[in-house]
Amino acid sequence: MLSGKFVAVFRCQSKERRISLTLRTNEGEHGSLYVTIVAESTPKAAKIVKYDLKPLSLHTKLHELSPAELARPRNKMRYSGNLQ
Amino acid sequence: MQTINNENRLKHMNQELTDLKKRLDKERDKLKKSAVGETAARATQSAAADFPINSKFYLDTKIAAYILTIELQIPIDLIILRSPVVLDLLESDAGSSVLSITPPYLQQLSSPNSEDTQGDSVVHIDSAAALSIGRQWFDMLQL
Repeated sequence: MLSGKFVAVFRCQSKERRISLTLRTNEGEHGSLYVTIVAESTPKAAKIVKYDLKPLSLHTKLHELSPAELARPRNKMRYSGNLQ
Repeated sequence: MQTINNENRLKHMNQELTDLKKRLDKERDKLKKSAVGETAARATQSAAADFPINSKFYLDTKIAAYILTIELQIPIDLIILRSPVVLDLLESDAGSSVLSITPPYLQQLSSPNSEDTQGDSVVHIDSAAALSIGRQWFDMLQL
């Protein structure tokens, strides 16, 4: 069984077929999100979908920096001399 | 001329609709009949369990939050979210569905068994309504 810190249940009442949620994770905490989906069918059926929450969950890859981002102050380290 | 065309099209569509309804009724009858036999019931169960899910889970970088959308071809009865990680539910667009969130101090989900994703898990939920939902869910999984 899953030990949990987050449990939420949605019970649909008016035959919704679509549901949309916004979830905020805490950066650094990783784990999985298990979503049990029960459809209104006879016989009843459920499916469990698992999503991974990665350790740096709020980070994304960037391919290009915008001019504003490029204009931000940055640290620079300069080496000089005979590097061997 | 145009109106006659439209009328024809309307007639055609209505005809199609009644045909589809008939087909639906036929399939339903088939399912009911086949559910009588034990093995047949099992077969329909596995077939029913195979409903297609269209779901997306992605990070919206503008609001730094994940968006989960679930779409089924048949109506949704219940959606249960569980995670060992602390999550904030910021927003939900689920029509008139009833939401119940279990506060962490009420979750007694620890168990000697390791994590398992399928089958006989029990969820302890605080409010009475949610409890009945959980029971319903539990019963259903034990079929």
